[in-house]
Amino acid sequence: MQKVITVDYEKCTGCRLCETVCSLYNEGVINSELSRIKMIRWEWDGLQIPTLCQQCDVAACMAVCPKDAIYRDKELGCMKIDYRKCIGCKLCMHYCPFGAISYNFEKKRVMKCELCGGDPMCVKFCETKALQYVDVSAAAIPKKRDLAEKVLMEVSASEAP
Amino acid sequence: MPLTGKVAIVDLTKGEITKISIPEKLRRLYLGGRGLQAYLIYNHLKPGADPLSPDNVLVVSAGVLTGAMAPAAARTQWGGKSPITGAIASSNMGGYFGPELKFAGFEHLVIKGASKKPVYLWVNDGEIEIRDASHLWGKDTFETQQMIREEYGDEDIKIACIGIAGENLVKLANFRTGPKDAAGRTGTGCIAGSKKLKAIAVRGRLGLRPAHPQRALEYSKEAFDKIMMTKVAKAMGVDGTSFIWNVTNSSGLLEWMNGQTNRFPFGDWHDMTIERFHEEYSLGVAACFNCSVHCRHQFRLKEGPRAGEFGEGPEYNTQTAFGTFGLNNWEDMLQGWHLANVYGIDTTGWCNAVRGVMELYQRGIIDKKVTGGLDLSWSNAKEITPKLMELTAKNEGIGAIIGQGPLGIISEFSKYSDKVGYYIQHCKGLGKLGNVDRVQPSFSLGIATSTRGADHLRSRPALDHYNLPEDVLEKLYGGKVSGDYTSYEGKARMVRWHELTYAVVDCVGTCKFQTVFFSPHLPAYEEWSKYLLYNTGLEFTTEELFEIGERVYTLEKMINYREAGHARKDDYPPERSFKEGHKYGLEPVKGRHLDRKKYDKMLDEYYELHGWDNNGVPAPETLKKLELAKEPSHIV
Amino acid sequence: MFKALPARKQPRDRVLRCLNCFTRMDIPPRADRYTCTKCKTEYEIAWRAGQAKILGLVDYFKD
Repeated sequence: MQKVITVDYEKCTGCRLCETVCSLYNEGVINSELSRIKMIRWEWDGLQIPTLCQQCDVAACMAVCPKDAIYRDKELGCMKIDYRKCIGCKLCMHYCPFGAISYNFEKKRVMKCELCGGDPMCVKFCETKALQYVDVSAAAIPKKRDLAEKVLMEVSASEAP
Repeated sequence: MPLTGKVAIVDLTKGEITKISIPEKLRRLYLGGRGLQAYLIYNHLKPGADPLSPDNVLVVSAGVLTGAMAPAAARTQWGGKSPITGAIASSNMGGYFGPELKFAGFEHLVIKGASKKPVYLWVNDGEIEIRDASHLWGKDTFETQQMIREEYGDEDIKIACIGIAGENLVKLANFRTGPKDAAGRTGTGCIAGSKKLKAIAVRGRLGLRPAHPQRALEYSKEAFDKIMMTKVAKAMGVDGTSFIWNVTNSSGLLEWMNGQTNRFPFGDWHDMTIERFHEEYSLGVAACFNCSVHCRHQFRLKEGPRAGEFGEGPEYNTQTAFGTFGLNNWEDMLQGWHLANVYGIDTTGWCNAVRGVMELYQRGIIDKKVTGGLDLSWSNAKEITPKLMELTAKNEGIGAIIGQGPLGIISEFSKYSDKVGYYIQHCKGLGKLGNVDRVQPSFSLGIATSTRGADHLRSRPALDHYNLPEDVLEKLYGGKVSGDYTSYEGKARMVRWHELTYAVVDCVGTCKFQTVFFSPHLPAYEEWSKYLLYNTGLEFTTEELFEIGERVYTLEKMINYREAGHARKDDYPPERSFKEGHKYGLEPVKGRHLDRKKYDKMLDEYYELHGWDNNGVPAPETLKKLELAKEPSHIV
Repeated sequence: MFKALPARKQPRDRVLRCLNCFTRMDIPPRADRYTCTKCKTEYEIAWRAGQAKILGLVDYFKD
């Protein structure tokens, strides 16, 4: 069964560890510009939202690539780039609706989340579990659980003497 | 070596910038961060300089591992010669500014001279420019950051700036970044104001290249897991530093009304707890760069002219500052705290000054003629806090005196009574916290001898509060240390060990909270050696790191001796700590105060352990041993 | 109710130390008060995500 990285932005504390470890693991350098996952922050509202590749079922990046350099990994279900075929036209970057593909200006090539070969670093280092790597069929369960817990807290609080 | 952050010498008078690589020799002697900063201050500060003159320096130093692959590698040290004490200015800041500075290719900025017109530094990918800041002058610390980001169209620019307090040369002025991070104490913002330096804006896309990426990742994961298994990580992650307040309040270890009482006198203490804050305000928690503990709170103000505005905090220091002179609920404390962040004023120092002045008012030493008609009774705190804060930021009226800190207040008001010096609580001119250290010899010694003035962060020797077995303490400190926090036994050794250890942490750049500051199970020398090895490729043994700590602390002492003549006479807690015991408190606290003879003996031991003479001045043999005898050396 | 509650259970989450005599205190789950078995100091207890903490003293420094 395919696994996906789920994002619960309410749990994100903005620590950027996901960016640090992504860029370090995949590119050998700590640089948020070279991270495939990006945390977008509204500093003066205290909001932070991690954004990353959604590994779309109908992938715009794959559809638009003139050299068929983007393909789906059979095991992991994620979209990967074959750099032997890639010509760096950057159409995938322009057509992705989520901005999930970015350009590595050091290595001069596009890059995207490829799930770190099945053991995503960002998930590993995310303390609050804002990022989780779960079976796609169970992806919504953590949110359902959170809601149930909130309901339980409210109920037991209102029942307190 | 992989971490290639440079030193940039920025001359604001000449408008010149020089970039220098850090030689390995200096790395081995001072490591980076606060250590290398002490070296840079000693070498670049003109001896005897007036802190408000162009001869003063402002040094900004990221840690050697700030921005690197290690837990909470987020810290930055700010320093120079303090306008408020006349000795070393030294303050450490978290958040995201330091990492960005490293990503931009710099580890230290040495800012000299002064500009005639308001300027800011634009630091970007290895280059620094001095730019016009006239459109920013007069803006608060929130607006300044927002305006710069808007101007460049880049929300990822990190900015450290001063508010109007710094512009007005208020000695309590600080540097600020984000909603609440600050290089709070010792007047760093005032130094910048005197140089007409409004802000430092940084954007870095160069990144950092650890020497051994895989090992750095693996080892960091182990370290993170170990940190998160401690009880204190959860306490900090949920309640922030305020988790301490309930414990100190319940022991009688907090002081109100400038140290006149240790039982909350302004209402119901339940209203002051972090639990009450959670019920009424908390929007969640956020973190500094690379930190898994996420100890900062988030809130919105409910009342007043800034109602609805988002702020970060509070901290333990908020409660022990804004909670100590009459404010008795979160809305009022947060109003004061948030305003201080907006204006760019040291919260700890300001509240210490206000407390002192309010006690003088209570005792009739000063009156409404002196305060400009303001009623400074404890019961009027809510009314006058915003007004006093504004007057301080603008350097007007009674605010102008408060803004000078303890020495200014004493100098100004001693004409009304010779007891003023007794009531104003400070060491070396830096105000004390609202904590009862007079019953704790370890805390008292650490605060009184701290190289930047009354401050617990230099040493915070709190391990004698946890009832740890004495053999554990002996192993850690290398000698006998009593596990009883009211005892003097071994505390000189304990305080010195902590001073050196925290000096090392401040050189490394990881967060001090994730150390023995809170728990013996948190990272220490062994972990730092590994972080250093995997990130920089350089090997440091525990002994070598400990010696770096000794060198740094002794060099800071040398700076203080050179600039302010600080010696034994300046290493004592205020008189009140020796004379008065508190009325309330649990058994270890009630009625206790310092014993002068025992304190003196402890101080003698402390100097001996440090290799300083009986006057607290580093002895020639010590300077030679630590390779400090040839300073200033001007290698960089 | 706020968002980022750390999920991990830690060892000794219900063990506290009396602030007066430093005796170990084993706090029963969901207790809101606890009296030290040795010195009889009575504490108000609060909880953070399953971890016991001292809120304050029941008799806060009576005159």
